[in-house]
Amino acid sequence: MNKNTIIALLLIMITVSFFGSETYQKFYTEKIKKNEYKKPEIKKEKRTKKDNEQNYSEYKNDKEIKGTEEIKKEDDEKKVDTIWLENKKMTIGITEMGGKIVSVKMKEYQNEDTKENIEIIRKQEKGGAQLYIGGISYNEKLFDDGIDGDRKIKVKNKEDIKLKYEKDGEIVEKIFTIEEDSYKIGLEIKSENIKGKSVNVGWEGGIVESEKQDNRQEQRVVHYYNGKNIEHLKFKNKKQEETTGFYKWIGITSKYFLVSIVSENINDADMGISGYKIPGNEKEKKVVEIDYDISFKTVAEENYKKYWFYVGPTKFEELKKYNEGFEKVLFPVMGFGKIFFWSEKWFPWIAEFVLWLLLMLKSIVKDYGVAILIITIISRIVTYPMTQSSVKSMNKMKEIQPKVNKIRSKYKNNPQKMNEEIMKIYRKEGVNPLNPGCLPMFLQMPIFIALFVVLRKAIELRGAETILLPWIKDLSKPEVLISLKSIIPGGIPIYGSQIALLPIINAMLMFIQNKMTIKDPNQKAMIYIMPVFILFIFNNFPSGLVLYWTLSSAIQLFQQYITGKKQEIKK
Amino acid sequence: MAEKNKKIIKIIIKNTVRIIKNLFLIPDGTCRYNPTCTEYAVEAIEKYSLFKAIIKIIWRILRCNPFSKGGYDPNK
Repeated sequence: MNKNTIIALLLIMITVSFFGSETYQKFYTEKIKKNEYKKPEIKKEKRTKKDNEQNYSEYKNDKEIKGTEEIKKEDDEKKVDTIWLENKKMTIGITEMGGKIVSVKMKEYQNEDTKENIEIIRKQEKGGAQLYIGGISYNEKLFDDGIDGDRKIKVKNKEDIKLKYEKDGEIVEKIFTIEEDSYKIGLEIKSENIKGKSVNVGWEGGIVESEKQDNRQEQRVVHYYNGKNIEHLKFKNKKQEETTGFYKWIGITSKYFLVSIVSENINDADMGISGYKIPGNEKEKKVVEIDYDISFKTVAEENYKKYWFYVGPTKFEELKKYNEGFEKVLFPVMGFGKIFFWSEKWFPWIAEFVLWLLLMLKSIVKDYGVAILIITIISRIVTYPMTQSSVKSMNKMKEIQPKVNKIRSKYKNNPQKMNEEIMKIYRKEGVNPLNPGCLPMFLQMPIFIALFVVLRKAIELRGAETILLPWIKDLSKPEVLISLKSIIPGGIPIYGSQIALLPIINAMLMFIQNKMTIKDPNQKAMIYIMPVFILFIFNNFPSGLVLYWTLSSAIQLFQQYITGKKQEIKK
Repeated sequence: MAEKNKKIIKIIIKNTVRIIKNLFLIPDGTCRYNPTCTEYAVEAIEKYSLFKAIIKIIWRILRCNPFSKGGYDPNK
């Protein structure tokens, strides 16, 4: 391995991390994005060491997050009742204390380890659907649900739950509406004799990250939509960010779920988002959690407000049903991705197409692994004429090269003559007119990236198994053949804490391919560096994607080998 | 100093191209031109200012498509 190559690789890493960095992204967003509509003002506060400690102590308290059972017990003591509503898709708990939603459980999705239904609200003691009128909190005031007897309700068609607060002539009513087969929770707010005018509805309980953190990456993102454009926001090193602007809805997504507040009050939705980071522990500065609060403030002087919440999976078909543009949260283009021309406009389309294709094939063959295999074969057939001609012309070039080199050395001192002579050779031997050129190859790239994103984000692939590789438990997660967790607790840096088979096969294929193609002695080191690089990078990629890549490069290698053989026979 | 920087940038571009080509399974001999886009890119970095070189490289890749004539196209 030569020194320059090592320096180069290091520099590449630095460059890549620079483009992913916040400074660059800030520079980029400020410079390129146009102010198309009322842009949110983002106030940022820098974090200090003290903030870190404070956040951590808060987090430690939060860590003992109360389960619904405990809340139930406590509420029983205080004579606070909780209503439990169950429809086909979820179970919702609404407490009389402030008329908040304290629990939303997904009936169709289970936790990997405990196999229990996934709870969406992270801080159940805070809950969702907080209400402030004129700056006064109604979250610790006791509402009355007017129900006698059983508070466990199975929702048929539609169910309205009325919660009423009444004191000194002040009346506040919260009406929740739940449908039989929907992730929608409606909320109407009526008030009488209340001095304050501004109504603020929030979701302070945040969202749980339902998956074990793969790649130690924070997945939660805030989205806001104004009926035309969507914005995505990911907090980085700020203590708190507040955003204001007029929006149709705001939402927080974890890897697979969305909590969203939709305002049906036209033109008076002033949203607020705040988030702060909590470090892992005193010594480590790693971030384990981000808390997001989202809320809508309205200032119009009405006594009636209407909102609704979407609390459910980020499943494309499901999100599309509501006609609110929720599906736009699924494949956001953020940060570095934006440097490709208008990628936030066209990339989601490609990703949606890949998702559609994958689901369509799955419904036929009943196996995601086989569906991926079929996609590989299709894409190889489509690009066959291209790759075939380039394999041929590659071999042809090898034949011409010595002649060109001869001319180069012959007419060293006469560049004009040299050019003419080289031109002659190419006219005679010709570059294969069937050659695709470099541009079409670049156009393929978004499809690879789309597959990567789809495998990681599509909830349909959560826990997808395949008969092709029976030891893989989840195609959307990195493959684990042998776990190193018990031997090396922290895992090997970059490589991770598992040994996977597919990346090893992939590295071997790349090594063979490099051996076959790289003849330039200056690039000899690449023969060995590339496979190692691939091995490390692919080890933490979704196994479905690595499967695609392995199949694809195996086919290409085979194609190259066969064509080479054929040409030898011709001679 | 400038010379050294240029040399490093040259190596970076060369290796980045190699990595992209390998990752996205772009076989050698795809290019319609001679010198190939890769060689062209490296030469351009050597010859011109960084900005001009990047413009030239982008323009070259855009031209390198099935509708172009291809052929001999060195940096002039």
